[in-house]
Amino acid sequence: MKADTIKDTILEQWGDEPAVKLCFEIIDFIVRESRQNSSMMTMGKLAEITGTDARSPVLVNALSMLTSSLGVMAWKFVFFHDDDEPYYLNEGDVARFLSEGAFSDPRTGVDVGQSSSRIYPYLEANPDMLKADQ
Amino acid sequence: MIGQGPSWAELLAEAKTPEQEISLQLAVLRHQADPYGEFIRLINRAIDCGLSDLSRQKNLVHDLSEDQLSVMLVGHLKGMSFLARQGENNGGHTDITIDGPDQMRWIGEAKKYTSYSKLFGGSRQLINRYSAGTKHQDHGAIIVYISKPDALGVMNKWRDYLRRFVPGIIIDDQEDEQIDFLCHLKHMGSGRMMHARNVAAVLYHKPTDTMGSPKKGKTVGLGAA
Repeated sequence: MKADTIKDTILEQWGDEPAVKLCFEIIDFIVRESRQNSSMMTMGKLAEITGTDARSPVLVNALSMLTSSLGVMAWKFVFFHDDDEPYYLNEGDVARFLSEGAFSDPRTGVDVGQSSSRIYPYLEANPDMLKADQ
Repeated sequence: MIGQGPSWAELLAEAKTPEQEISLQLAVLRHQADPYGEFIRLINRAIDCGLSDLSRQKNLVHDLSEDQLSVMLVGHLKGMSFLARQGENNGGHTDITIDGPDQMRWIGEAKKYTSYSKLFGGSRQLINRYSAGTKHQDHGAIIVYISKPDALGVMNKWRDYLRRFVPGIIIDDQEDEQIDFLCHLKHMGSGRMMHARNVAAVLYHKPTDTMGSPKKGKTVGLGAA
């Protein structure tokens, strides 16, 4: 699906919503940038791209449209050990973390207390979806 | 990575309203252990938020048509980033359709309450005309806009009506004074069970503060009789 087609869908569906402008800015970034630059987009980076706050509900709305409804991007999660070594959650980890709020330290197998404060979301773009017909 | 954005806990904490929390949970729907179950749970919460919002504005909206009320409800759902539409063709034009990933679909049939036979017609439309009744497309709702008094009484009688006239229907038990209920019925086309939530918007608006004070030997309304 071309980027323009997805933008048309967004406009048709959510035309009056403030998140639409942010969706367009993120789509433009993904189309413009290399695959490497759009493969690990932190909330901070998305905030820079859209000129908003990383915790902004409008940004969350835009990401919800682009991920859940349209599949332009996918959520990923990373856990940081005490020594700042990252562990990238697999699908099973993510499903358990989101559904039960629980996460086991892969080094020890022990559930991590208050894991959600040590797990950071980021987004991975699906540039093929935006450039397929170009 | 740390410092380049909030943790998941911080994002959750930032969701100050039910609508913001629903939008955040909707965003990660594809990654849940049971995405369709979560999809339906979020829609139910979102519909409750939308109907509650309509009830808060009952002085302004109680005279609106069911289509106008549904437009407002769909607008509320879109604000939470649901892929919600009005008038989508699903074997007829549905009042509210919400699509999710992986062919998930939920359909809402909205009726302004005037009679139980009208609600019954809406239920038939929802269950056997508009819904596919297939996997991930077997949940929906009858949304009842009630501009008359005693919405709880209306919904209780509606539940009794379904029990009396719809063979094979299963209606879940509910707590006292709960204004919504869930029913299950075999879908004629698919042969699978279809699940329909029946939920009300309380839109009765007749202020009693302008009726004057009680006079000797007469009463005036305060609550329902």
